[in-house]
Amino acid sequence: MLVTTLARLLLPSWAFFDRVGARAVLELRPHGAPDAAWRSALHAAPRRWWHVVWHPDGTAVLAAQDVVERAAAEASDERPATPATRDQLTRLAAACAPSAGAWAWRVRVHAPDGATSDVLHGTVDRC
Amino acid sequence: MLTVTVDGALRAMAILAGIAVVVNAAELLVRRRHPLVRAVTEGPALDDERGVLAPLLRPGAFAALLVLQLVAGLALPVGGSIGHAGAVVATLCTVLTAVRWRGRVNGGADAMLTLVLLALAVAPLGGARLRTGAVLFVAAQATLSYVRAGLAKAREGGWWRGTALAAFVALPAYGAPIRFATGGATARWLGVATIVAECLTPLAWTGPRAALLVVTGAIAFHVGVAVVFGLNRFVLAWGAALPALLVAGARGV
Repeated sequence: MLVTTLARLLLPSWAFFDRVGARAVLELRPHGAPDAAWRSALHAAPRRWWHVVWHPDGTAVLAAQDVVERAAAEASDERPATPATRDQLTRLAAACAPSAGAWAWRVRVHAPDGATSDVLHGTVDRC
Repeated sequence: MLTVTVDGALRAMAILAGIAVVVNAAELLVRRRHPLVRAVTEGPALDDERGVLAPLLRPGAFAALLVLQLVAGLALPVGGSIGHAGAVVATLCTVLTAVRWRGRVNGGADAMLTLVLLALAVAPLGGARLRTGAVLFVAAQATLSYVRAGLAKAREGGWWRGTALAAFVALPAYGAPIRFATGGATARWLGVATIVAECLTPLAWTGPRAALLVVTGAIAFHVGVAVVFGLNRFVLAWGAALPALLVAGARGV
């Protein structure tokens, strides 16, 4: 992982732009409630003019979104999610859950042609 | 006509990269206890993966690293050996941040910033040829990033039809203040304009006027993206790289 990260940073192929069009979304719904609607977990704060330069809350949300997209990319390469990836997503779901209790999460990929696929899923107990 | 020398471009890159480095460190410092940040950067599984770097990337040590990055960012514009040390330290800190996040922090802006910082760290080590090479390396990477993005969009029918841009804008994580009708004229023409502009970036290498036009368009593009998608770090990182394109244009192909 360390070598891969360094290689990607020092020798970027800008290949991440190749995935333009496919969107990965982390979604939540109460666990054990199959009729409940899935809701997007990550939401950006309202935009202000200074956010063009200074945007700490936006950076936090977008960094989390990067984690979701990376996990989806790993899953689309048909690699099993690493323990660290699953741990990140589970913790992220817990951080985003609107209230205490058990929540189900999934990573849904929306392809450019409108097709959707669930590439990862799990549950989390938010204390 | 704006004449940009290699040393002038390096000076501008150092100032702009310094701003980027300071903002990046400050953002992560003020939000180091943000639930989302903690969720994706802390935990035993991540510790296992980080190996020998784990102690350096735990919250307390990482906060100290961010303060060091802040100081390095302030040192960059000073120039001389202080600026050089700032570039080296800032490069290391940016790389360690990426390791902590297991990759990109913010859509790839850190990759471009790392390259600019590397160029600033390497340039003072040699003579004029090395400095020129460092600047042109950044110019080439900036050009490549735009062209690759443009070609990727060109291959994707949704960008020509206006559906891809509308879908991106609708992603909740971006919190875009506007919406485009799926397949509407605005989304369609913006998508086409983006593809064309990105693919034509190599024209910057043909002369100073073309370079200035490309750089001006790039600045407007990144500011627009920051306004719509909140990607402020792209303004800062690519902004630091753009003086290199002016040098490429001044030399002409």
